[in-house]
Amino acid sequence: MTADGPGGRPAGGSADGPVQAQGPVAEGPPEAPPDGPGGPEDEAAPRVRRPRAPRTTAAVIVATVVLVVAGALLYDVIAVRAGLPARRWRARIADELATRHLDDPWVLVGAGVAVLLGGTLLWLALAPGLGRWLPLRPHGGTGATIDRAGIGHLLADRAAGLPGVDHLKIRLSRRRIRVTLTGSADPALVERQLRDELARVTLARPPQLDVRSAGGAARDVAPEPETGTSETETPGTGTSETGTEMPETETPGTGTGTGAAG
Amino acid sequence: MRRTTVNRVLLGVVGAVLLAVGLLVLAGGLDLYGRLGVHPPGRWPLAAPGRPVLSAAARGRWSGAVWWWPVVIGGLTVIVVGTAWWLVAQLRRSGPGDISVPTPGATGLRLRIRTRALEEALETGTATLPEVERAGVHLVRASGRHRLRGAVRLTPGGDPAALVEHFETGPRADACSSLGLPELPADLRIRVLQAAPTEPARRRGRRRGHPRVE
Repeated sequence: MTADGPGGRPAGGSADGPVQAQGPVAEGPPEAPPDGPGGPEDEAAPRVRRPRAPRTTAAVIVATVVLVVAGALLYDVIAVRAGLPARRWRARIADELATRHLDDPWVLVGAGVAVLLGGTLLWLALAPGLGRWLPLRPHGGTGATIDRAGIGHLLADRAAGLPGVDHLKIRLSRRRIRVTLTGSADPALVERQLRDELARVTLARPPQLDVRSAGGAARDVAPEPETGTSETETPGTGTSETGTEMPETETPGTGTGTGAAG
Repeated sequence: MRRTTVNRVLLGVVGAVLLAVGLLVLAGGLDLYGRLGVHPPGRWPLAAPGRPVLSAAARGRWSGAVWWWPVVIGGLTVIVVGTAWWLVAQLRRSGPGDISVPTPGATGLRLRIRTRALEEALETGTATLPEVERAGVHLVRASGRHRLRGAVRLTPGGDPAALVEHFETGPRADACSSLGLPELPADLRIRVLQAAPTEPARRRGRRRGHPRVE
């Protein structure tokens, strides 16, 4: 255990990695591009294990609730065995359980809540979590993860320096980066630049990069058409910022959630 | 066992129990068995909507048996002690106060170093790496071994791959060699800042003069 040295981590990752790694790979095939850049690099680099959230908060809450309930029940059971009368809450609960039938609305509501809660806890137990941290290829004994928004910042800064890019919108998920740009710049050119930038990050599982221009607004004119385009396309997602003409990085909370779920 | 594993297993157990009980009650209460034409086996619990959730007869079925109360009290005690341990394991999150440094060739000498001193040395070393804006390093104990956890913030346009390499060959290698530790694996969490926004009116000028264009 202690003898494998710095190599222990990647080796361990490759040992039990495939179980988690199958998911994204299995879902990849419909699109050709991810296999192109992703395939060879994945084979060359050791499988990097995706970080898993420790679920501390959920554990604290569940442990506290179970502790309180079981402790109260234990106290009362012992008190009753010692000859004291049962507490009123326990007699009440026992009475309710004995009299209420299964089709009682309160019982059904309680069962529904239990199902939802149980499903949530199971999801917390199984889903990896930490969707915003993407693993990098390790270097020796140092493994690293990078903030998903950080990748967005790098791409936005790189694209901001290109001529003809007026406005940029970046959507990031774990497997796909979608860049929508407004301006006279050639999407293919921008894509090449951003691909370079992405390669510089050395992600363990590079996401697919998609660059497209929004509505072909290839003019050197002022901001009005641009903001108009943005607003019609994405109502309510950061449109207030489009007026500032800054390349913006959109990492919506919903995106993080779905990423964590996958 | 690792805390993450313990947490996830216990959360899964609690969740599965809740889900199973909830589904059983829902299936019985909504009379799914009757509607689907399924006939559950005779001792299937909570099968018909007209039954009470937990009848007095069912509750007292074994209460006369000799083993019942010891089992109930024992089971509840195990649950209480277990959850108390589980809770404490969440709250106790700081790493070791000091770590022992191997002293080959010197018998009878025990050398220990304060964790904070090591962390500060690593933080200083990391913060002076190129493109690093801020760095924090903690030494934790994970699965019986010491491990470094670092959080690094890079300046806009910073190179994460270079940072990992510099950290590996710089602060981490220094710490390993100066302490004589055989291994000290590290995990870094990297954030990258975005270039500060400028005024909209100056946009095109800024774009032209952007330093990182080819």
